[in-house]
Amino acid sequence: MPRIPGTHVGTGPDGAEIFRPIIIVAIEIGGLVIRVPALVDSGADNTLVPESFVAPLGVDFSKLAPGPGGLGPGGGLDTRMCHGLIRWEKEKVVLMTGFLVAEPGKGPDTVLLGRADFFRLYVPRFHWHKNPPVFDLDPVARNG
Amino acid sequence: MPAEAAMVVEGRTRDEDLVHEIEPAVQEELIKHPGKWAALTRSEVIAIRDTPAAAYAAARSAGIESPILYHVPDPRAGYSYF
Repeated sequence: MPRIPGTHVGTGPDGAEIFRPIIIVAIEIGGLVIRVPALVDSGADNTLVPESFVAPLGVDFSKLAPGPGGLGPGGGLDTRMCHGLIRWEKEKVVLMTGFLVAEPGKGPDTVLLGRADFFRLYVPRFHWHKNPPVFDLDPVARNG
Repeated sequence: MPAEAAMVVEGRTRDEDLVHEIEPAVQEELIKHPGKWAALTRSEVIAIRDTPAAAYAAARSAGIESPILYHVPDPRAGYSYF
């Protein structure tokens, strides 16, 4: 399994360079596809997708089945269950066939890959001591 | 087990297998536009706009059928999921 360098996303207020563990995923619904970054986030219970990513694929948030909701840093968050594929194209794998969508205008500005689904497929190992930081995503099947 | 041995996968060190999801030159271009939306390929920035829809449309106009849609984080804006 390849080792993935952290993505450089900017410089913090303290002058430190900021890197994040990001992979590019494809969200596929009804034959339409959008490619977006996804953050490997051990703090996320479930994989969460911004509404703005699925709206162009024809998803109407108001018509989705209610999800478990969540209490993120911004307070309560309405989440809905959405059927669709999330692929990690570089590794040619389907990561999941359903995911939660955050209410419009709230929640993250990128896909968060969470513990209940993504982390059951891959064992992330972060190496923040390296420059730039790198992370490994080892398939669970190889690790037992 | 020595740390070096733990880093070896199938006869190669993992650092030899580095795979960039977004090419470093693209990352460095993106961080010049905090808060904006970008449409890109893994190796090229196609468009920088204020909204995801505008960035996506610009990339399609440029002939990129399925661009990566990327929100450039703004570290000055405080907490970010990025």
